[in-house]
Amino acid sequence: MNTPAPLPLAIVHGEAINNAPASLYIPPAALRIMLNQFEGPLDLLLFLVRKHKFDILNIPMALLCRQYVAYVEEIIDEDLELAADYLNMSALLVEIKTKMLLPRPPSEENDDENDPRADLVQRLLEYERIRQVAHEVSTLPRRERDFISPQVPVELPLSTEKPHVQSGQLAAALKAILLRNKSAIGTLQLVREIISVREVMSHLLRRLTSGLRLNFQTICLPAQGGVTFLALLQLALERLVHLQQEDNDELYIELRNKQS
Amino acid sequence: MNQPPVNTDNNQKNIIELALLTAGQPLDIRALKRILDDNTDSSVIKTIVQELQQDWEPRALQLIETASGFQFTSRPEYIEYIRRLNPQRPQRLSRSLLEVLAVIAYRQPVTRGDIEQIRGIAVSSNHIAFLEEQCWIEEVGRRETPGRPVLYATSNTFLDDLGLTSLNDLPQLLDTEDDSMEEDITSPDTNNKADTHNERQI
Repeated sequence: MNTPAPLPLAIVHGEAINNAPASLYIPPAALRIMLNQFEGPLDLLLFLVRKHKFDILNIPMALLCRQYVAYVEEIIDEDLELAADYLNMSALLVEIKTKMLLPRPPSEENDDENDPRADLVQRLLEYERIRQVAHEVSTLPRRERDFISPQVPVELPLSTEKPHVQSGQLAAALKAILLRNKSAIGTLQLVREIISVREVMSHLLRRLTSGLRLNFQTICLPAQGGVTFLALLQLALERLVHLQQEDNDELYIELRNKQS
Repeated sequence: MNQPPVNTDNNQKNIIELALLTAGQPLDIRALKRILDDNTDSSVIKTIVQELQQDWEPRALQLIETASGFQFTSRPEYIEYIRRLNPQRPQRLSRSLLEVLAVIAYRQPVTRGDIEQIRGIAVSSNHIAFLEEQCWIEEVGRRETPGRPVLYATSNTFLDDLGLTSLNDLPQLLDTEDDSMEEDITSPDTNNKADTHNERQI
């Protein structure tokens, strides 16, 4: 080492990298940064094929797999699914390589259909097409981002008319509820009813799919109130319904994926 | 009650313009027919809409046709001024979200598994939830395979929001690069010896 060291090719974590990666070697830290820019192993493989004119037959599998495994070990605690995707791709590449190394019967030698790479090539092509159109779709004018739809507000007199309620009706309704509850308690017939929360969830969903907005009061009958309440919470948790409290304190339920 | 103006050839255009400006949603020919008079010919309505499109040509609003019908929208070149009124910027769509959307749009109906197969990576539940919240995709059924996975397709709202009338209006999928890819991936025969040599080393 008498000659002055040439400028390093790159410095990673303070360490100079002098030799251009002879093959696929990428220092682990750099690899991590690099891989963050890729949408998974297929995207990375496509990049390698396109950028470095890689030939799938020529990919140094041992090296590539060692890289993948090193990366997998680094991310396995954070992103198990991504780690699995990279492992899966490594396994696929090794499988292809294995098949390529095995001699093929002479009758199949020029048969493209049995080329072990064919399937992967098709997947890469399909992914490349999707990647391309995804970019093109993102450039199309889009509502909210590029344009909006105006609406001239028109107040129809009919829609502003308040419903008529008389205080007597309210009193009668309350009396009916009290009477119902009293009779239920008075007879003391406690029948254990098994109501599946899931069943009530489906029942509610079916009622809601017709575009109905349900009033919480009317669906939580005393007999099954608890189960209905649990079902509602579960539906809200699974983002299937939308709970909304109006100005009049009434709670309404409607389907979440309905356009408002 | 005011007497509505008699439906004459002259005010048909006014009625359609009024309907489109106040509806707050796209209106198709059938809806416009119902508003005018069920006996009006579809071709008459189409001509009126075309006239309206010309009338609005020099304005900041345009009358376009999308999957759900006709609607007024602001012209994209004016969006900057709408932003000044309402500084809320819409959410930027990530590359992975766009790819998921593209797979559903171009390969529908697809299951999550199909999307994962094409992209080689797991699909985030957030992406599917976001696309459903936008009403851009919807469940259209289930594939009768083990697990009966949900099949997704894009909705009319998706087309409306991109100003398209049908999926055919989406950018074309390119096939031109197939040949170059085949060359990149499959090695020419002349390299076979070197390849075998490399493989032995590994």
